[in-house]
Amino acid sequence: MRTLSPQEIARIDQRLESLKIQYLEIYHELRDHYFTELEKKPTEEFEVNFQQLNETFAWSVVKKMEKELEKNVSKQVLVAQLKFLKFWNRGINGLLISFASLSILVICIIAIPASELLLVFLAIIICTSAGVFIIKRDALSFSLRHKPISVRSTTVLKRVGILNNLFVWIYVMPNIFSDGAILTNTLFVVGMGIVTVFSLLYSISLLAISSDLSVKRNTQ
Amino acid sequence: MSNSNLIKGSLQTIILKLLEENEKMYGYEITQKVKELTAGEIKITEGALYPALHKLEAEGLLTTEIQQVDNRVRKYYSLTKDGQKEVSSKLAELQAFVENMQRIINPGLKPELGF
Repeated sequence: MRTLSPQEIARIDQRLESLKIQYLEIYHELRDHYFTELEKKPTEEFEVNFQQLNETFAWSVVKKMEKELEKNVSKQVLVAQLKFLKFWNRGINGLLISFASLSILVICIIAIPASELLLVFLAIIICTSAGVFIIKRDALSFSLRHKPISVRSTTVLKRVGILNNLFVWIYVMPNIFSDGAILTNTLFVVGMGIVTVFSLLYSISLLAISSDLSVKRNTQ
Repeated sequence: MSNSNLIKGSLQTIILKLLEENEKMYGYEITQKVKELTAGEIKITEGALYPALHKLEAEGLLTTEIQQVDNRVRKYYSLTKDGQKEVSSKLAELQAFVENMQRIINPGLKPELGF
């Protein structure tokens, strides 16, 4: 086994950059795959093996891998959220604490006037976005150059986006179209209260699982 | 035998079995191990291997750990407790399938396969 030259490393990095790999998880695995394979081959065979690897990891293959990863991680996040929300699986203490918290939450939502629910909903979205952003900063890249980002963090952030959409379509739009008159409709207000409780639970579950979804690091 | 369609259906079982025997492995290592064990007869395509690993990880059967190796990051996979339980059931499933295939291909032959 040999050490790759800086020129050879640069060729690998250029190739990976040209693939515009979206997610860090795939980027690291492919980079390691290229390095490990090429380190085993003599320098004079570099070009042939490098081209073979480029064919193995062609654009279409990598994009398909990205789609599969998105699908799998989305499922993983959903399962983790549901597991967190199943408070009845946490023993008698967990059950009592969860029930008490939920009751307090429902009472608070009922006590809040219908017109103020908008602010509560907005506060939930802002707090969740800020919380997820603090925990999962690797989901965003402000660089003009293409930079892979973490798929797990991105998936969690996308789910905050779902909350935003829910807020706009369920609360804001009916308000705008009815010019605020819908706030006098009891059914709408009760529905909004229920939606707000669920959105809060959804946000809490997202924040709780955010830190659990990180990959273990082992420095040697 | 190098038919990728035949291998595709058994890929998850192959990964789980290899990880049962080796505490932790990375993607490239898995492809090489399969090549070595089958004397190059079975080649796992990387385009199928990595999604299969990601799927098993999402299902909670594998856990990952990243390590800095020289000038790059390496991702190691290992079995979770659920993954360890799943290995035997996947192997039994594959064994039953192979036995049934033997019965179809060779009706007179009594299969005596074991993993």
